[in-house]
Amino acid sequence: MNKRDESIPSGQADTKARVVTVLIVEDHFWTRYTAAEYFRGAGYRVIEANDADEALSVLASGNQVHVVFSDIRMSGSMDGLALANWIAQRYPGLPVILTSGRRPDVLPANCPCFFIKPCSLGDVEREIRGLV
Amino acid sequence: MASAAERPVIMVLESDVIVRTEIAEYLRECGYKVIEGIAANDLWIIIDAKVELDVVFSEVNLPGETDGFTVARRIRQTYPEIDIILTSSIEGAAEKIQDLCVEGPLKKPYRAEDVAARIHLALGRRRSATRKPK
Repeated sequence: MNKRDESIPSGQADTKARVVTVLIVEDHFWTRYTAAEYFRGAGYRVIEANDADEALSVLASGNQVHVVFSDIRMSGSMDGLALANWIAQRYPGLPVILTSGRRPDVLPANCPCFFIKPCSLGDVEREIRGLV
Repeated sequence: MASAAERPVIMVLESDVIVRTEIAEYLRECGYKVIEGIAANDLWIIIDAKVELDVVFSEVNLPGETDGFTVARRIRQTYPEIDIILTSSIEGAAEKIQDLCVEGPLKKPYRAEDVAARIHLALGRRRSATRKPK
C-alpha cells in the first residue's frame, strides 16, 4: 500500500530480535517467581498468571503469547488440563507445556511435552526454544 | 552480569493480572528488576529468602488477611531500608495512606510514568541519605 514502507531495508526488521513471550501459569508463588526469573534471564518476555482464570484474562487482553507453561493442579475454576483444552479450542497453534507432580493419563493434543515436578527449568527452556 | 546485581529491585503487589503485568513490564523497561506478587504473603516469602528489595509498590486492597496498610506499617517498622509506595482506587484511602507514605497515595488509575517517577524519587532520596556524612 505504502511504497515508502517497501523501501525500508529488510535488515531493519532484523535489528529488533523477536522476543518470545512465555505465559507462566502457577499458583505457588516461589515456583512461579523462580521460573519467571529464569526465563527472563534467558531472554524471554514472561507474563505471570496465578491461575487459569488469570491466564484467560492475559490471552483475552491481546497480549501476544508464544508458549504457555502451566501447572496442572491449581486453585481457580480450571486446572491446567482444562486450560490446555480451552486454549486448543480458542488459540489453535499456541503450545502448552504442562507440569505436575503426576503425569496425566492423556495429554491434550496441543501439549507437546510434560514435565514431572520438580522440573529442570533448563530442560523446559530447551523445549520452548524448540517450539518457537 | 554485575550491572544486573546493581539494578534496584522493586516488588509490585497487585492482584489484577493485567494491571500487574502492565506496570511490571513498564518498570522493567525502566531498568528495574521487578518481582510480581499477588498477596502480602508473597512479599514475606521474598524477604525471608533474603532477596534484597529497594521499593515495594503495593495496592491497598490485597487478597488474604493482610492489606496494603498493614504491609506498609510492617515495612516501616521492621524493614526501614525498604521504601513503600501505596496505590488505591478507594476513596478515603488517601488520608490513611498519608501517615504511612512520605508522598501520599498514588490514586488509581495511575500513569505508569508517575509510578516510575515516584520510585525514582524514593531511590534518589535514599542514595542522598546514605551519602550524607554522619
